[in-house]
Amino acid sequence: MPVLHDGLRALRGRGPTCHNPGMSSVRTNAAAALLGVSPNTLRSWERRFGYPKPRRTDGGHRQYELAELEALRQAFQETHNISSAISIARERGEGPATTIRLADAFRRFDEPRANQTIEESLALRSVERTVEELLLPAVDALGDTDAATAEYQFAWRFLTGWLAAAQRVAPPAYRAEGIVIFDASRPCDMDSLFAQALELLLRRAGLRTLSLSVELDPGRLAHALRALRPRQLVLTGRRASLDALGRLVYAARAAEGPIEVFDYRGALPDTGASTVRRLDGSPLAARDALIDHLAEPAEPAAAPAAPRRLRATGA
Amino acid sequence: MQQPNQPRLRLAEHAARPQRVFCGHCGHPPDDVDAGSRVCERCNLGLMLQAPPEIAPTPADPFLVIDGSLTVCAMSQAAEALLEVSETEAVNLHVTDFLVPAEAEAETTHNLIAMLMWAARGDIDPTQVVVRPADLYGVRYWARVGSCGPPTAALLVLAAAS
Repeated sequence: MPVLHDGLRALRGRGPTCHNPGMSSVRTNAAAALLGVSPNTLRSWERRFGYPKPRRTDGGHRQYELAELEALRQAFQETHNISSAISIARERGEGPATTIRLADAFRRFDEPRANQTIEESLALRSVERTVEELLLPAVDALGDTDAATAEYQFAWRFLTGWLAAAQRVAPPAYRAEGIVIFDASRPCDMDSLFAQALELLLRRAGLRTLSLSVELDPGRLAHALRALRPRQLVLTGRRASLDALGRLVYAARAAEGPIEVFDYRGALPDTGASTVRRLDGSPLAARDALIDHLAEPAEPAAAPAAPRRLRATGA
Repeated sequence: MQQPNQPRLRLAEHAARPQRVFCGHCGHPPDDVDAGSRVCERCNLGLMLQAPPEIAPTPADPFLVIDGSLTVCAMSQAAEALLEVSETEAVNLHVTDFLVPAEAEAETTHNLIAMLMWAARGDIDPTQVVVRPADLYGVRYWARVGSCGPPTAALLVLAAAS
């Protein structure tokens, strides 16, 4: 959006705007400059029309969503008065569904509002982009402080349910390759949501997937792996020991031969000497990387070293 | 080949019609014409529009802005008082909910609806017509009809009929 970029460049040196560069909102002065009006005008619109509706920071400062401002600015070009422009901007759903709106719905435990926001996103974005750009950031914004807040737990369970439902309606696999995901996260971990999101995206890409907990007995993996015949193994979640992960990887390779192992979102500590490929934290990027590697011819991996046996000396 | 006495054809430069800027709600011109602000900083409720001087309203004039579907897009403060309706209530309603031709037998060329539609396309010079409130007989207003924008729309400026 070049118009917004020009407006923001013009604000250089005019004082503080948004203290959260990662969020798509600006303070009153910046919002007014973007619309070409005075801050008093913005406040008068808020009183008279209730739009644009800013959030309030902890310090009481107004924060306006850039999407709302752009919708309003665009509406000015299409109409002849303020109330019509505001009506148009509102009808357009205040711009594309944003992470802030969804996070606000979670904070209010407002499930219908959350569903509506997601529906609006799906009208403009693909399922994959909705997951990556809206759902995951919205839950992440509520903080993952050991799942200490009810709002975060509500959001986490909401998204888990949504991802599970989306998996159920994903089209059947049309590719022969399978991917097994060992998830070392616990309920209410953000890693768990990212693992579910990755599995959903892989399923929608036509791959066969199987998600298992790392607490599984490695000796009972063979039947599952024979059914899936995975070409790739993804480790995710940070609650398992290196030892436990190693046993699972060994068991998988022993059962199925050359399986590529990937680390998603730091499941393995970075020792610098690992041969495990690391995937980007973004589910879409991770999915693309996995698919790209599937296209490479499978490298015959070295046969897993047989456990050392005690041999009797020939005395 | 051109003859010596043959007049040459020259491209005539189109002279842009002068425009007067006014607020679509309070009718005032902008305090700083060069500022180019789309929003009226005087009343905060109107967008800046342009119209030829012969049709542009003064701050005291009641006027309506009407689009090609004959829907009211904007209404001045004076028109709100005259027609006893607020702009927010009037916007998106049909113009004939508020004003109708006062002369039912008028010729087509002077028909209010036709003139508004032409004006909304920018295809009409400022014209006068007589109108009356939709729900009131015996009250007539002279109205100037012309084009304004952006975007292009019909401008209907009322005055008390003499």
